Amino acid sequence: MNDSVLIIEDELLIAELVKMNLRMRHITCNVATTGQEGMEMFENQNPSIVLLDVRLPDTDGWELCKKIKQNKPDSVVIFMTAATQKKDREEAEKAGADDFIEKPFDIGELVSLVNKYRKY
Amino acid sequence: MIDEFSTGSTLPATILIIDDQPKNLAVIGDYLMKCGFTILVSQTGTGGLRRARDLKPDLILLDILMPDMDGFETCRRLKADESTKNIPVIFMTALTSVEDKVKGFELGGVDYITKPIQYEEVLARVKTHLQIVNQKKKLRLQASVLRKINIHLKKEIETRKAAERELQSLNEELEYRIKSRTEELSKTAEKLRVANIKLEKANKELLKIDTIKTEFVALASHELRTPLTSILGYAQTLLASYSQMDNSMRADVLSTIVSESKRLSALIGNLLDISKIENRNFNIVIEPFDVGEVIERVINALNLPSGFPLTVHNMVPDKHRVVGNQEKTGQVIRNLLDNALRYVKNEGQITIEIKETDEFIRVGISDTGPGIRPEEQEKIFEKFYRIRDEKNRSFGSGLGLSIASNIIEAQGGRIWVESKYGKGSTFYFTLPKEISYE
Repeated sequence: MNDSVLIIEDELLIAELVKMNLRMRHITCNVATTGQEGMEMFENQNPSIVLLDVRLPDTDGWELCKKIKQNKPDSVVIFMTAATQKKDREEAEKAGADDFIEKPFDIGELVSLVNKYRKY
Repeated sequence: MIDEFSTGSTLPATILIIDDQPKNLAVIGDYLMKCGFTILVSQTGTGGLRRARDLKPDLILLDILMPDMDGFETCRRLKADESTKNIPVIFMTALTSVEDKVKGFELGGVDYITKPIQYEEVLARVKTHLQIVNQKKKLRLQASVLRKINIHLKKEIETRKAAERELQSLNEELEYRIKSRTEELSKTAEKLRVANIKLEKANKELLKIDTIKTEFVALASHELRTPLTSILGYAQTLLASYSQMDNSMRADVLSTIVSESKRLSALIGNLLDISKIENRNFNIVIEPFDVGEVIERVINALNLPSGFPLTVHNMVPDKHRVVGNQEKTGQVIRNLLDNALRYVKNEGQITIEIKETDEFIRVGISDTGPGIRPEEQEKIFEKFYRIRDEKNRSFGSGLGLSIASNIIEAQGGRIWVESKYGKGSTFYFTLPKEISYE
């Protein structure tokens, strides 16, 4: 496992926003815009933290989270979600999510959240 | 003894004796008087008749052989007179021939006494006949009582029958009322049942609408958060890392903020449109207009670079116009063209074709974009539905086609898509033609 962050988010502008802010803080990160791409990158790059959107064009974030946790239980999954319904949060918890951040989020909060879970 | 012979009154029975022999009259009269009877006498048939008429004796002892009018004639006359015919007559005679006796009975006599007279026999026969009279009177009385009772009973029966009829008609009335009441009740029950079903249906409908609204709010808030996340995030980034950025980067960030703000604003506009449509607050003015002109105006407003491959084939004669709302139809055309432009990017081309059928004018907007999978062709008209195609992502609100479909249907038209995946799509809509009276 390395110190990188994987962003799986289909809204390109948001993915770029997160990437830009993490990189300015010298955190290595990469972006995937679909579930499939995200899973491939996760397996190849072995990131320690995954920032995950709930709604993806080919799958939902919960399914992806389960797969990631089955694959590598140590990796941290943080959901970035615009869905504020209780059900969404429950689903995320069931899928084994470590944390959530709600859209629209404060960039400072997002960065602190990522730093909280960084191990190296 | 007197009581026994009384004829209903308290007076003793009266006996008229008619005999031409004074001696006979005296002897029988004395004897019977001693026995307690009132005695009337007459020595002639004529006198006897008069006495009988005037005094109405209870019984007559009548001698047959008399000089002026014999007993038979006297009896005949007594029986012929209404007032005396019921008085029993006992003949007294020395005649012993059977003919005489028979004649006496034939004339209405009830009995006869043979002379020389035996007193006890006279008394016995008198008593017997008075008893018979008495019995007859009693019988008559009883009969009259019975008649009265009968009349009374008949009346009673009539009354009862009337009461019964009354009762029966009341009963029928009651049954009728019960029947009609029951019918009424069952009708009411049926009405209630129907009303209940309607209510349940309305309730379900309301619950459904409520669910749809809740889902709509959730989806809308989700959709609004996406551009807002970009706006807030990029603005914060610019603020916090201003010095780390060069000018072109700052300009990029600012233009992203601007374009995402516009997107947010358009989204809010669309949401308001949808909300108006869903609240049936969507009154549009319908009037005839030229759809070709509207298409031209929309294309001009797009500010396409010169030489962009967009062709319009208008196959409808000028005079044929549609009936609808010009502004809203313009919005639909704008939406469809925006979609087409988004998918063809700079590589493909767009063709607009206007055609007419019997009752409608049909507009088709074709693009050479990626096309839509068959299973998605109907869903794209649903609210917030976006094509799940990872290569060709749309960045619209997911509301444009839903709004277009509502607008077209509100004008009496139809909207649909024909598409081959990988080859491009054609969006069609129809609007009713203006009826021309040439």
